[in-house]
Amino acid sequence: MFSQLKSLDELNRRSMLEYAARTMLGVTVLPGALAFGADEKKEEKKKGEAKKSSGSKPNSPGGTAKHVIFLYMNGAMTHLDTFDLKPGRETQGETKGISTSVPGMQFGQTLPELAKLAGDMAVIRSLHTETGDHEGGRYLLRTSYKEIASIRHPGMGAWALKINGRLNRTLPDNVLIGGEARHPGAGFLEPAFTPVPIGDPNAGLQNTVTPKYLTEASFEKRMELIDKFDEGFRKKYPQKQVEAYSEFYRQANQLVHSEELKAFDLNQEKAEVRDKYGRDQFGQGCLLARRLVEHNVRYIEIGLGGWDMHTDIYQNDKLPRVAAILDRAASVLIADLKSKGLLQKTLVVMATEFGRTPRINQNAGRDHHPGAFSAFMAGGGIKGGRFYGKSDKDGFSAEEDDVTIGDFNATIGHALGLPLDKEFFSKSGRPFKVAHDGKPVTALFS
Amino acid sequence: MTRSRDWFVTRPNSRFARFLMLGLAAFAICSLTDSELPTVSAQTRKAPPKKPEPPVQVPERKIRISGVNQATRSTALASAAKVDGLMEANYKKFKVTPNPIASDELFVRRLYLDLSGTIPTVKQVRQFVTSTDTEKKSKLVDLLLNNPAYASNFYNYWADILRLKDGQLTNNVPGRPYCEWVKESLEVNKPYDQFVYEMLTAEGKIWDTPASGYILRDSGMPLDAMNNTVRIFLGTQIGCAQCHNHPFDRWTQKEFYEMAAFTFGTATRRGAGDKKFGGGNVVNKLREDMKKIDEKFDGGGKYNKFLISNLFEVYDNGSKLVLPHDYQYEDGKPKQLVTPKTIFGPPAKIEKGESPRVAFAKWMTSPENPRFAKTIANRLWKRSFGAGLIEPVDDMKDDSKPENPELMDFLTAEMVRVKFDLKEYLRIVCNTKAYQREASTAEVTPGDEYHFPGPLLRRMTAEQVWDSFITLAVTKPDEYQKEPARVEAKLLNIDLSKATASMIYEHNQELASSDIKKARDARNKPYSYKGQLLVRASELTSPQAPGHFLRQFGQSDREAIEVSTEDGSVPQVLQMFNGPITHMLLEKESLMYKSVTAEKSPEARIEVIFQSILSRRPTNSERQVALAEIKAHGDAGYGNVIWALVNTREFLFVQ
Repeated sequence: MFSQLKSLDELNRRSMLEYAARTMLGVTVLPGALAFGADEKKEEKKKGEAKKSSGSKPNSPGGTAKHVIFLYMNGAMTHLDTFDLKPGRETQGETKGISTSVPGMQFGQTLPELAKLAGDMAVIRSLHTETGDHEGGRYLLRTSYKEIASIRHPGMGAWALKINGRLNRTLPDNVLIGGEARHPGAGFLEPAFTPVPIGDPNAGLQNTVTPKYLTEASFEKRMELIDKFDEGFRKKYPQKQVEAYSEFYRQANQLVHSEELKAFDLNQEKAEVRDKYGRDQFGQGCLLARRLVEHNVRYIEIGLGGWDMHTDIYQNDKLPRVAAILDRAASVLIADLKSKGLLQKTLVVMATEFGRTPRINQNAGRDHHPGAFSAFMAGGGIKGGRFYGKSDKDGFSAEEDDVTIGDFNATIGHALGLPLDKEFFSKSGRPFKVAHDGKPVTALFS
Repeated sequence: MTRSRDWFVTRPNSRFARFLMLGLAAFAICSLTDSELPTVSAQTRKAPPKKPEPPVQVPERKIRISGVNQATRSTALASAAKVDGLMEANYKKFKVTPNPIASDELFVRRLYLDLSGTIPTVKQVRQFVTSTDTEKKSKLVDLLLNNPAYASNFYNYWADILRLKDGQLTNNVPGRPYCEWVKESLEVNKPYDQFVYEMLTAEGKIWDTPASGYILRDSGMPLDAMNNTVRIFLGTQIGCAQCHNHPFDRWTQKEFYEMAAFTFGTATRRGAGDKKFGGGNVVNKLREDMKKIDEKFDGGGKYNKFLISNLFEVYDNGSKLVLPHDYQYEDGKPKQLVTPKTIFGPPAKIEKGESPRVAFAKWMTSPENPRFAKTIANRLWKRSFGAGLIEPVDDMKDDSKPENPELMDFLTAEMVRVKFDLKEYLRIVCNTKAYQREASTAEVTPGDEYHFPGPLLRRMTAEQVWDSFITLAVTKPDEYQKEPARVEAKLLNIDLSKATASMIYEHNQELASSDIKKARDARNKPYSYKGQLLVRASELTSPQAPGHFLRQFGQSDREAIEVSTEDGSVPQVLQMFNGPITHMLLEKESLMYKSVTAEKSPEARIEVIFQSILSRRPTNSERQVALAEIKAHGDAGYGNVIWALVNTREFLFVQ
């Protein structure tokens, strides 16, 4: 029932826009969209939102995740040196395996802390894609779709908000910490679902303090003035890119008056805690993510760059440095969530756009390799302590239980209880699904 | 004065009475004392001496500007008319009614944004709008093409495409000389084919041949480098074929390798043991020597900016490319030697004694190349209209059909006719009726055919937003220059075969010397405001740190090609609400403030505010709203009106 309501909401909103498009562009889109009258729109929307705010979601036998913390290894993490070891093979390079808390499971030597938490982690070693281009790979990983010029697909965070609704009504519910310049964001979904970027977690959300000389009333007055002066322009250009800004103004206005803003302030944490996560951007980003989950924020992505190791991969400032940052922050994050009783409702995901060549190149580095790569999940109903899938003897191709990016994202969707078969329509009337046609790896949950 | 006359801001207490005494335009803002907005004049270029110290010399770069030729004006206008003819035919074909011609107010704003990268000042708006010259539009086009701001604006454009970084381009190699070279190339309006040719054929170190930065940018990634080059300059993506035959285009992996073979023999780094440096490991040797001079030196990376950076130079070592060991297609064998071969157009001929790279550069930049001129013609069309005739501009395929094929052909031919003079080409585009039409008001769905009834509505680029604020706030923003590359170059650029540890030690000391610091302070101080350098985006370090205004508004991180975005976000709005950039407009030193206070009546002041920020006069109802606001809140009302106007969507979007 509830999901029906929401689909009505979607259709009505669309029908309005499409009506506008039809009359102005002279193009026809999505037959039937006009069957819903414009009058219903407001009411349905209200209903939809009231339901959404309760945080309920359609019945779906999924995981137990309400929140996702997505650790994004930017630049393509080497699989052979981290989670997919090939001991005894020439392709192993200089990396040695270490034992983990789970007998028979080995990680690379640069991940000693995560090794202790292997019991909570399900490590997938049979991911594969076709693209060896960073941009293409990033886009695919975040959206399950290939990047094309004619449409922008939503990222998982936007899907989660769209379908499960917002958890926290004032704080941004989709946050991107230390992400690179380009992110698919909300794609064709409402701009309100776009992740809010936090450049530096130490600085938190900047510019949230209104200048001292402004009273609450004068700030409101200013907001009214904006609307009055902007009325003509907005009427003239009924375009999504313009509406998007109006939405961001609404959200920002709400935010600056929120008590919960301190969730973004890492100074609220003890120095020891901050040290424990590592004082680097990624470490502090993980700490911020934990705080945000505590404040009921739904989806947080944190980027860790530096994995594009074409040269001198074993040099101190390459693999050992970057892996140490991951190892420290991710292990503390998982342990912290666990001790606070949040791990069960928080899915922690670590993934990357593709792997790196098994063969070490002439510059002592590894190049791009989409044939096989690794990722892990923890919490959110995931049963840890195991590997899933296998690559071949040299880590060249996925060999057993292969997992596509669509499958991978479907698994995240499954953990969140998102309807994976349901079609959602873009403004141009094209159908899309949360994880494209990916099938969730349900085995990870049992 | 009995009544508090706080300007622009509501602050009823009288703590700031001393400011009020200063004159008619009394003004207060919470932290005025720690910063004042720059007013720039020739005198303030030098640090104000407290004691009679010798004035600090601020090294400057001499700027030469090449403008458009008056003699070719009528030819350009005739070409513009031809473009319009082709546009009209296309409107008919698709039964499209073109948008009305934009008002002078809309036109002057758009042209400044497109060519100078900023909104016009109130003075510039008025000059244009009140002019009765029937040729004023085409004259303004010429004026702006001849303006130094053109180079600033297009520098931002190329910085996004070429991933320009002032900092490390690759392992300890500074990008600054290369960035400066790009800027200078735009200033002298270097023909585009020559600009590209110089980058592709550069030899030497970054300081000696700054164009080598292009190849150094992809140091250690020879295959990716070719992929990038073809994508940027030929608008074609062959990257997929790096690993396997292209799934969506006709390129095979073999063809990719054949292309890459042209530049595979180009090296970017010499080994420390290279005989050029006299044999032995020159880096280790110098590090050992350094330890004797610098007690604190542990043999680590401290001196890498001398030791490692000077290993990097672009030169041809003749390396041959072979097919990958796991090559899987019938047309070649694993590890088979690859012979250079171009993917389309007349084949590249490698002359005797010529490196394959030079042959490739000649082939690529030739007017005969079917995609070189077309790509740049299409790119600049997109820059002016918001969409290319072929989209995406960097992913043309054999069967890509331009929206208007005749027009695409004509524009390509024009690009060749004007000999890749980009200013001349833009002169044609900006003089078309099509360009001078109003922006399309309706939503244009990506992927739908757009028949160019006028330009698209676009959000300003990050740099345009920033530079527009600078225009509103700073009196002479175009006088500031970044530190010339030569300041550091003369210390960093050393010959490793002759370098001694003591020399490196001295150079390092000098880099950190107070002389250099003083000059930097003297350069920046007049333009600094609350920790922000209020200068053109093109004169700021590229890229800015993630939290900077520019990055929040979508400036590229310079890690990938063209990743700047025009998307909105909540932090952007917070920046507009509470950040220093919007509030600096309310400071009494700001140009905005001065322009407003130069007028007496509220009506005239409101007019200045609207024309400064939106480049147009207020409508009657807007005037009433503003007057009511000022009546209700006294002088603080002006501040509210200004603040509200920069927060409108109308300000942020280019119509």
